Amino acid sequence: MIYNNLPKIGLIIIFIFTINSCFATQDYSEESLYIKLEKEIMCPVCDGQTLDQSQSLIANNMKDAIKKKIEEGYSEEEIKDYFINRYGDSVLAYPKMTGFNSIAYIIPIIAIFLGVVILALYIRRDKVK
Amino acid sequence: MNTFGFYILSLGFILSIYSSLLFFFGNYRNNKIMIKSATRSYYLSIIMIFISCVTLIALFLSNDFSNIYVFNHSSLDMNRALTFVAFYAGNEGSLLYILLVHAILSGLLLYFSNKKIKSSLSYSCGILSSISVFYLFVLIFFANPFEVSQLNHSDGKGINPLLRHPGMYIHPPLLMSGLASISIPFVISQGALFDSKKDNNWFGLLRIWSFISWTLLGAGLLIGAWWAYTILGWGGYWSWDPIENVGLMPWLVLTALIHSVMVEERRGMFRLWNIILVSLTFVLALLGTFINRGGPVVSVHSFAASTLGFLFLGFMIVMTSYSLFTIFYKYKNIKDSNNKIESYLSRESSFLLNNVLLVLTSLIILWGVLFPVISIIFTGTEISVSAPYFDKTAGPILLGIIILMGIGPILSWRKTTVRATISRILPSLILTIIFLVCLLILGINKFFPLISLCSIFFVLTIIIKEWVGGTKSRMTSSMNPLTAFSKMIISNRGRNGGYIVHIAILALAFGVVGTKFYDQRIDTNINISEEIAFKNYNILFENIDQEITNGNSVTKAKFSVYDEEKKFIGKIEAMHSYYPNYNQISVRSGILSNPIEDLYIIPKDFIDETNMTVRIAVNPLAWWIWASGPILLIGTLITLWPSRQRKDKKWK
Amino acid sequence: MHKLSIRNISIFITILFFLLFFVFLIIGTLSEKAPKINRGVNTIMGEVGISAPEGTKFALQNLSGEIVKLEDFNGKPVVIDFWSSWCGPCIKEAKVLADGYKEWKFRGVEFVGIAIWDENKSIEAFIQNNDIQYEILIDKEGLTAVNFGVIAVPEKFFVKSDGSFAFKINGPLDMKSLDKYINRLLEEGKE
Repeated sequence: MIYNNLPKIGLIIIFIFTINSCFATQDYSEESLYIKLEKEIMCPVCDGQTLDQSQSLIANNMKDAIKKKIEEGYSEEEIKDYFINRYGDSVLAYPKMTGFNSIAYIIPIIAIFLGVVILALYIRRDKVK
Repeated sequence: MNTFGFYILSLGFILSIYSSLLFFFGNYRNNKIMIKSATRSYYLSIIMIFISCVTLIALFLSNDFSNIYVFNHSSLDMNRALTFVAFYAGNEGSLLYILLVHAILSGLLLYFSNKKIKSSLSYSCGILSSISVFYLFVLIFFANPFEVSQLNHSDGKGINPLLRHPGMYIHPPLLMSGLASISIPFVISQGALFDSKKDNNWFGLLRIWSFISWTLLGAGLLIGAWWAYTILGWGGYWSWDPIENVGLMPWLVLTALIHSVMVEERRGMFRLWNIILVSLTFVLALLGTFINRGGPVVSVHSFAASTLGFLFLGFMIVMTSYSLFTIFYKYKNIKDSNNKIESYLSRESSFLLNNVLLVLTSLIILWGVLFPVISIIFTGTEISVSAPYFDKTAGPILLGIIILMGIGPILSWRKTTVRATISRILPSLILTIIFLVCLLILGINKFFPLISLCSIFFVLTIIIKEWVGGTKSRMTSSMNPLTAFSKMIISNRGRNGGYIVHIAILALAFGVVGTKFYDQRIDTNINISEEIAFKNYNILFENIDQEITNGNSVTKAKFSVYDEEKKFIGKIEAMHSYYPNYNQISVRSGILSNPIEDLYIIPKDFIDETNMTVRIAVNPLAWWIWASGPILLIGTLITLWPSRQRKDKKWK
Repeated sequence: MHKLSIRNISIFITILFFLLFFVFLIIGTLSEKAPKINRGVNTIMGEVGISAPEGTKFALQNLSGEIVKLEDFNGKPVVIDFWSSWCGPCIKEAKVLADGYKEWKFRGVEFVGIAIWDENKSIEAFIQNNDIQYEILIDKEGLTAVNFGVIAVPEKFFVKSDGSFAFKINGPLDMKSLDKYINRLLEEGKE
């Protein structure tokens, strides 16, 4: 009996912990915001490199600009918009989740869903009854 | 000598055309003499390719700067050992290198497998020599490495400074060999499709060759990451750059393949699916070559960028259409055994799920690589798709695959019950929960790392439990545990080698989690004999050394590292090498590594003789990423080591 | 019959998928790629989109330490030039700008050079060598450059007399194109 219930109990504990950790304090200090932005903003002159990978002149200036904006109290979104207004959409290292670009995220989700469903159907058909 | 090289290459071209035609025709007519002649001429063309490579190397060694390729990639003051790197540093040379690998590998296939799969081998070799024909065609008409310039140069331009690193002796050759070697499993599967005698021997070959490709490609990617980590000076090792991605995609599909091939081996199932996977890998490898040489996406690895894009695109389209055609029209030649999947909860099903997830990951990465192009076509706005996107989309699936890695191998073949499965994983599950609590107590509270670390731990405990169980059952009273353990490992090489490879992947994932989520860094300005405290390190800036070697000026900054109690830990040397010919600075970071964390110093700017700005970073667990390499190698060797008498047709 | 249709559908889908895939690749390869920028020097020439939002301003020191603002030129059309003394195209066009200014200042057009990624010493030498009479400001931290969305040098902003941006030109100018653009600036300013 207990043997049967143990896994359930285990799963419930895992579940509680994961929910708990989802809401756990996230690090929003200035330092970590800077590191995050540095990884999410592209260097406009280097092919496919983010700011933290680039040592180019403008990339260094942009890093300083991020630091200054954080000091001035800009939020993450405001800083990103600041750069998008000046360097275009391609300065963001990922497609935004709005408009046409949301397809970039929708397709993978659909693909995973379809893949697993087709797999399940296939196994069901193939299964020896 | 240049003309000699070119003529040899042309001779190889003619021989390959001849042999490919004769292979196909001989196979069609079933004419042994024709096939024999084709085989001989193919061997001869391999020799020609080899000679032309030797010629190019001789040109490098003799500093013949009338050759444009040598002029562009070598100079008088270049270290002679770098000739090897210079050989594949550019577009023409790297093509020649790929061709050489292709030729050698196909020679090996032709030599060793002549008897095993006689019926379909001639057809396979026909495709192999057609691929040679394509590369030779490109080399002769569009990217001739033996082109002579009219000008008289006394010295060459020298080799790109970024390539002057030990990793460059291994990374590009391995990666290119990996990509080139995929054509071998591909042609084996094609031979099987065209083999009306339904000979099953080719499957063992497919398994071995795909595993070889997998290892080559994986090692190439790993060493590339290591190179980036030590020389590119940004503290990372994988940037999801398009060129890295096109190397990763075939590797992921190959990973799927080497799993599903095992199902074939045991149960005689999934044959057609394996062939589809091989073809997909082959197409992805061609896509990689295409994107590398003039594709539509921008990348930092533009070393071989050329205008040859359309040639490679054309070749890719032809090969894709061809493999689609053969799969659709010849699939009846592939017959599965009468086995079926019997349950959702079985090894077969878990392998299928693993296959689906791996292939989808690879396709999602492809989607991300091509999305900027799609966005430009539809909306006209340029966007970037880089690391944050791939972390979000491919990351969770890869994590899922790791969890599957724990459960999959312990499910039994055919079918098993939920109850049996749970009782097998229960100890690990309990341990994992304890581990989770420990992590939470230790203050690790971010969601993603927590889940990842637990999954890694879970899989590890399962493997250890399997091994402990296996050792115990083998151990007699007189035997010590170590011999029992090694006996257990040897008793089932495939399975235990696989486990070791899994452990390597776990180590890799462990390192990735550490560096991805817990890296810390500061940018600071530092004076000589100043001491900086960062985390639990005290870093003393000792001095700056400047030296000039071969006309390149090297500026070294030396640091001594102490721990909190002022105990000496080690020295770090970080440097800038300035190459006046290239007007380029190459940064070499200084790394002090241990299994817990790397202390990583990137020299940013040398302001004057006593002052510089540096980035000091701590990358936790980075050591494990590189440790996974040797483990992977051991696992691969154990798996591939030829065992006595493999029983064919094991399945019932 | 049932099996056959599944097979046909899968063939159809696969072929469609690959066709689309190849069409994308072909279009993508055909479409023009932006030329690469070499170590901070602009190689994309001609008119580009204005990279700074309307109302972007600057306040920077000149070599003698006085602070100069964009508002100081109020009422006059201004040509803002981002440059560096080590940049080849900037060196090439230095004489053009210096001579152009000597003529245009009499017709009420102001030039401002903003030096980025540079050292005071070489800026001074550059001004002297080319006899530059217009204001040269120094953007030490590069923040003004970022604020104007500059990615490389030389980049020029043509500002109308009411302080709004007219257009932006990348790459070096010669005498003829400089005159052409300033005339266009004056035209647009009238409207």
